[in-house]
Amino acid sequence: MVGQESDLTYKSVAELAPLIARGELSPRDLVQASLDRISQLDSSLNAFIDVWEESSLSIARIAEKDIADGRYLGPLHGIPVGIKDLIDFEGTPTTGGSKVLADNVASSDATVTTNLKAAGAIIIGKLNLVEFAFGTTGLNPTTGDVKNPWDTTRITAGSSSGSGAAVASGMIPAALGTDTGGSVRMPASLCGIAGLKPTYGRVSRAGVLDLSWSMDHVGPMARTTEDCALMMNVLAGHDPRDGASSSNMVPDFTSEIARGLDGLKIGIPSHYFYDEFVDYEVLESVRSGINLLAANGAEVVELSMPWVEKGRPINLGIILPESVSIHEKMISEHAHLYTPAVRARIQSGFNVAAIDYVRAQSARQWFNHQMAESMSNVDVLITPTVPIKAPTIADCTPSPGNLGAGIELAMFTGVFDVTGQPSHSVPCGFTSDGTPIGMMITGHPFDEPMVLRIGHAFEQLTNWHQRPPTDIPVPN
Amino acid sequence: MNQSDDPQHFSDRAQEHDLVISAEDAGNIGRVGADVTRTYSAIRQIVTTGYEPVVIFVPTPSKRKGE
Repeated sequence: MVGQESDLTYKSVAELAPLIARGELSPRDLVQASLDRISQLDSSLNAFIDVWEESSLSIARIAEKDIADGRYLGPLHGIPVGIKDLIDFEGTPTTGGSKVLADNVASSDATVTTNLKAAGAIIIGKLNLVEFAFGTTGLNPTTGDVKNPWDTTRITAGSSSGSGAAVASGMIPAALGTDTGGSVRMPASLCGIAGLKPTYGRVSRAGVLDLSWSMDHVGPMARTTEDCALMMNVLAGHDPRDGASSSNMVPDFTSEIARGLDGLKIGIPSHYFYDEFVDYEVLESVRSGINLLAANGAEVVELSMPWVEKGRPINLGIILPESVSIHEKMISEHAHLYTPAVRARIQSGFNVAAIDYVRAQSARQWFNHQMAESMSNVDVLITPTVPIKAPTIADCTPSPGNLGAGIELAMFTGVFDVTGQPSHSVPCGFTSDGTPIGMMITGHPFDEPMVLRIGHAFEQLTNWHQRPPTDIPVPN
Repeated sequence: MNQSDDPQHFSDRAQEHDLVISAEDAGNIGRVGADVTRTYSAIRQIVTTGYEPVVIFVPTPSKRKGE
């Protein structure tokens, strides 16, 4: 069993950066600590698809020299990070976790990859995921199932499963994920880390494999909310390579993070998110979290949102036809290379009438209007991130005639992919089984600073995010 | 089972639209097909009068070369 082995493995970016800047910590030592941790744990967790040991150490040596020579680039300089294998890194395969794209070598970097490199981050490998990001459990028969570091018999959730497991187990301090129905926030919740889905259009998707172009988001996953903010300072901004990229002004995402809770108004939906079907331990932890925020200066108001249960059907109703149109050619030619569950999900879109897709897009406008009206008197909504505890891998594994458990995972997160609002998960407790519970903070479009401010304030009042998993099994 | 839930019909209908899915794969869609039906049934109940679809056409900017 392995727990918190090194002082370095569970430090946040915000803790590591000043040490690197002052020359007290060498990027080479930090990258080596990450590589050692991966080597020690990844055969148990299966978080990485590919690890670039030699090139990472070589870049770390350059970073070390640059910093020593006074060319420090900022808080991500010398920090090892991982990227989901849906994101292009020039000269390396982007497989989407599928046999279909096994030979798909990226001819250029995704914009987010370019941005991370320019900030001095050291990308040390590609992270495991659900095939083509089309699934919620984190399981992938092609690349191997990712295991939850808190209990390796349980799922991490997905689709950014490798990103969640790698950060939670101390392999890397930060990672990139993508989110179309909750794929950043669900694994963040079940793995006990912070994960931000930014506003749609805030972070470029250029060079990232599409699942559903009108709802795909790229976002940071890290030990703390502050680290997500530091990542956003590098990731956000207009990109002409992405047709949906926003020209809105980009703030300093850390500038308001320490302003506290005074004067803030938190909305609690009285429908759906707190209904009886939600696990009682999840409800208890999230309610305790809200009470803590209220006791420290935030005002809490209940909001009637009887229409909000329509969000997840709208989310799925758009994903299905968009994903089948993206995969049409590949799945017609290589259906046998897809895993059966993902093939069934994609092919089910063949049966969707055009009018139903148009209805879903009209319903999305209606839904966004309802959401904006309901939130007109509050700064954020707070809800559970997922309604259930982490199920076991065995329960979620599909078998003939049974697609497996876990379909409920995205019931809450998918709502905010429809609206494109910034939505952030932070750890707020543990189940009696010892797996983490996440609380989701959702703000107005382009108001990531508010969401991050509340997430950070919550982390200052609690220590859930500082508890690493203590008994990750190591194979003999 | 409605017509489009029948695997062979599903496959034939897809072929008519140049979409390739084997009858076996169409049969294996199983529970996903039921979820799809439920999803759009929920969407059809929403009254969207006054709300145009999110995807609105935007002309591609262009101009005569040399100007």
